[in-house]
Amino acid sequence: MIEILVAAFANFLTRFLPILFLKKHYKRFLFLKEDFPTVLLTILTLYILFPKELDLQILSYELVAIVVTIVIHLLFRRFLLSIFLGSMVYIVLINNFF
Amino acid sequence: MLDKRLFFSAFKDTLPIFISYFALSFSFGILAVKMGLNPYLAIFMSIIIYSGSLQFFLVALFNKLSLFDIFITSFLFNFRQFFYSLTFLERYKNSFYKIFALTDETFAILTHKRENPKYEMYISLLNHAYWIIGTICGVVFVQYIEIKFKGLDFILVTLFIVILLESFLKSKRVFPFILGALSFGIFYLLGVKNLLIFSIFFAFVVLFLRHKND
Repeated sequence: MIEILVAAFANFLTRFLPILFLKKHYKRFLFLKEDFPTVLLTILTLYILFPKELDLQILSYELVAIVVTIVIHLLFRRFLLSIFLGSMVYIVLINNFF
Repeated sequence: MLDKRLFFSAFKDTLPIFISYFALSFSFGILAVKMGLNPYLAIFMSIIIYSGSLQFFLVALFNKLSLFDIFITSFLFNFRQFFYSLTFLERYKNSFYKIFALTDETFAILTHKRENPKYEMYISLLNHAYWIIGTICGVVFVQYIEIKFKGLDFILVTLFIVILLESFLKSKRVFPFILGALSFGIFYLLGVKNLLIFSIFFAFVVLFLRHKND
């Protein structure tokens, strides 16, 4: 519960800071606009893929699913389609459906 | 008063968003319950956080992160919203709710439209409603249909991968990916305890120094 409130508060801050008191200083943060979101998302993705105790079997499933996601996305450029087919591949692999 | 014609046109303009918000928040609802979160808290999250990838991230990693991790990650994760609010500073002046509900998709629709407070409010409310309704449906769905397989949380990874791929296709730049991988790689190999914070901070410093030298 407290986790949710902390996250919500942090999220509020991102939306309200410019209006509250950064009107004059926002130019200082503009350098973050271009690259930072991608850098951060790269870090978060790797953080999820590489837990402290790495299981190579799981990692290999993850990599296959990621490649499938990328290929499907390059072919169709449909956000939801890529997400669902990619996740499906992972679910099939990890549950040994075949 | 509700302007019916305007509301209907807002509804039409948000239909594509309805599909993607509903599908994503529906999956979020299922995943949250599967990860052991109280269904009401899942719905509560969609109401007060209302940020897709952040919510997925939180339910997937709740028990692995400290409060400080959660604060820093949530803040930086959605830092791009800072720029949306900034862009709409004049337009939105006093509307607390509209600023709160300024998501990527809402921003995307409204940047192309002329200023119209009522229309903006309808768009914001509708998108937020789709998000909450999808979550409720997901949470309810999982009560009746038992999901026996595992791996549903991988939606988070595919979601991130698609966002990253889109960002690459648009910018055609590899620098942010290399910096991200490097920041993570260094601290992962060092076996640092607060891996996430260290990597994020390192990347931030590099970007800052690079900016200073320009």
